[in-house]
Amino acid sequence: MPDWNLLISERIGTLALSRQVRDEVVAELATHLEELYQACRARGANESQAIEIALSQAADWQALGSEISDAKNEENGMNDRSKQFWLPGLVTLTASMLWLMMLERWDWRPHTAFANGSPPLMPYLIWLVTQPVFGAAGAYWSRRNGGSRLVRIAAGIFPSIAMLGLLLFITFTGFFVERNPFLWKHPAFFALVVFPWAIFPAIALLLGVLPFLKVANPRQS
Amino acid sequence: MLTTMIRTELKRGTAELAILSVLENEPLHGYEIARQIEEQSKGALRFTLAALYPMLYRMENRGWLKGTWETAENGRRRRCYRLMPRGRKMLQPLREEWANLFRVLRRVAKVSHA
Repeated sequence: MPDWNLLISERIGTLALSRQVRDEVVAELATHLEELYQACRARGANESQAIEIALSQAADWQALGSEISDAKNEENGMNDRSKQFWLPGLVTLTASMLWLMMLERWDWRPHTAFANGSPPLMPYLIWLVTQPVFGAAGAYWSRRNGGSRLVRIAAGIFPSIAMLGLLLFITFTGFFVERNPFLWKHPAFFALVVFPWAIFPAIALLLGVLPFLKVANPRQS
Repeated sequence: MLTTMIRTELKRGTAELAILSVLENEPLHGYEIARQIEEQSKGALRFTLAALYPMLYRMENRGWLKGTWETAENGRRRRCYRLMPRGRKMLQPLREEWANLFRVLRRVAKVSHA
């Protein structure tokens, strides 16, 4: 039996699509040709005739590849990377930051006998323990749009990635552009900030992402 | 030459309607969509793989269809397309549009039913 995936891959060339989407397209076209091949065989064609008929379904495979890329990338101007990573990631970041702002604005403290002794970090702690929800939302959204495992993780922990980038930028400019004396006196300051604002949230976000890593290829579910 | 062009354009124009129509009752995979259209049109509309898939992907991007991988009883995996509410909504206006076009053609060019 012909290896339709291979035959199509050889003919269609590289598409302007992610590897995953390209593989899906090739698999789908291969299924179509396999069905056609089987139908031709059932009608009495020999193997080489059936293969020839199947492959004649596209006069120009390269042109078909371009047309499929155009059709797949049309998507109202939004490509796969935007749908699978940037959009879920940015929305997760925005939601997570808005939630932190709301908590700080409310200055939420437990109204208990221990209220006076409640730690000032309460808004932060509440924010931290709720991060799995944001991670889950980002990963779910990315998975829904066909994101690979790696992309789902990246989209889910995007708030921490952005925060890490911001902290690196601030620290770098503080050290080398502004030559901030505080930073030069306390070089460990970066580590003190990066753990509560990037590393711990990343772990919390990742906890939320985990349940959405089970299916390897959501478009094949 | 001109006749061929008109025929091609007509077929292209009717393709979306044909795809939406065959998917109206049940989800189908690409090969079956092409087969049913050919069968129902008595061979007048034939979709090659090269004509079908770019169109399916465009219709999917517009939210008219949704393709999902499904495993058949024989274990073969196929991508099945089902009509989405947006596609269903498009079906009636498209039918009316084509019906109007044929009405006008009948009046103007004295074209009778095929």
